[in-house]
Amino acid sequence: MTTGPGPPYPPPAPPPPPRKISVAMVFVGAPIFIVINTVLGFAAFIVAGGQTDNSDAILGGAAVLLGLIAFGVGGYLLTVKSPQAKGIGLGLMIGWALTSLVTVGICTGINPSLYSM
Amino acid sequence: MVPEWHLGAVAVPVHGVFIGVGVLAAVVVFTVEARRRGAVNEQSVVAVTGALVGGVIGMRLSGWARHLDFSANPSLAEAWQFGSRSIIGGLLGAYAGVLIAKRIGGYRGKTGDLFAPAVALGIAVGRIGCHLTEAPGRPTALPWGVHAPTSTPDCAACLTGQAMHPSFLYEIAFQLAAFATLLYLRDRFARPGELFVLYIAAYAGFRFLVEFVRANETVWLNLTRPQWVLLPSLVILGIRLWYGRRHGYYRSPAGYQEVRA
Repeated sequence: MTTGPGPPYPPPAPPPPPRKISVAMVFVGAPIFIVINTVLGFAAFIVAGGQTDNSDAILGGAAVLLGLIAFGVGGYLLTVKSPQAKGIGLGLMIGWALTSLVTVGICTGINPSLYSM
Repeated sequence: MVPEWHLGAVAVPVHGVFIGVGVLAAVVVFTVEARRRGAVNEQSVVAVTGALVGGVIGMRLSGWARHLDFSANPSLAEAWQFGSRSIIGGLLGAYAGVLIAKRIGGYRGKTGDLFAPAVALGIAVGRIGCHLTEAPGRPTALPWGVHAPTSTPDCAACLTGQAMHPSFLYEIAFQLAAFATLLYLRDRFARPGELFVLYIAAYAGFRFLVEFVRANETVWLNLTRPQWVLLPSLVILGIRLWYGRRHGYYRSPAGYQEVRA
């Protein structure tokens, strides 16, 4: 005597929804900003140190540039469809915020005491 | 003069160091908690971005509402330029930042429970910097009163050598107790987000009380600016807690399910 076929297999589970943001790339974007900040910040300090008249303008320009990198480039990357690009975009913003908090805004140029030195 | 530590030729602002270490401690606690809850996902990352960016901006702009008379307040540009490092401003900015970031990203889940213990520990660490660099509190004759250097800014009692309340140490003790309590309660509430509501309500209440021994300027009816900000917040939070209690938000998960069934 043969047994009949068993119960049918349940339908396969639906695939998980595609990720909109790559969390791993956030951990890449933040260090990228910190490296850029370090290079740009040191360059601005060195150039501003050799100037007496427009040192504030140089430091202010570097601060604006860093803000543009974090929120301009970061914001643009968030509009790109790629999850990796979105992750890096968020990472750039997190890098700016962490650097601002940890250095009391001195390294990102948002602390006014920087301009009275 | 900003108190500094000197590492060779590099001068490091003491207050800034502890704020930085506090933020890093909060990030570590948040990450550990997110991993424990299996919540290392897009929504958490978006919320963290909103909290950090909003916190930075909130801290800088917290001087904007200095006076009850709005005509006496600085412009936004001036507030940014002379922005204080207010915890309340940072928390409000971070809260707004999370809401805005989640709205932009289209996320609706609750993330506050991940933030609550992280914020408590972060503030506890950051307040060490406040204790070392700011006027510790109002004069007191209590045996645990502390003295501070005469170079401490905006500190009349420092100049006269009076003992003062160690108000920042009171707050550190509160935050550490809150951190331990939040870890104990984190799996005991059925409804997501209530841990954060409870923490914010407890901190608002504590902060209102500790302001009576802080060295902050009183502006009206012998209350400080933070107390005037906190007063309406306490009413709202009180109503929210009462609503949550009536609807069983603070029952254990099993009890909550029984009620819902």
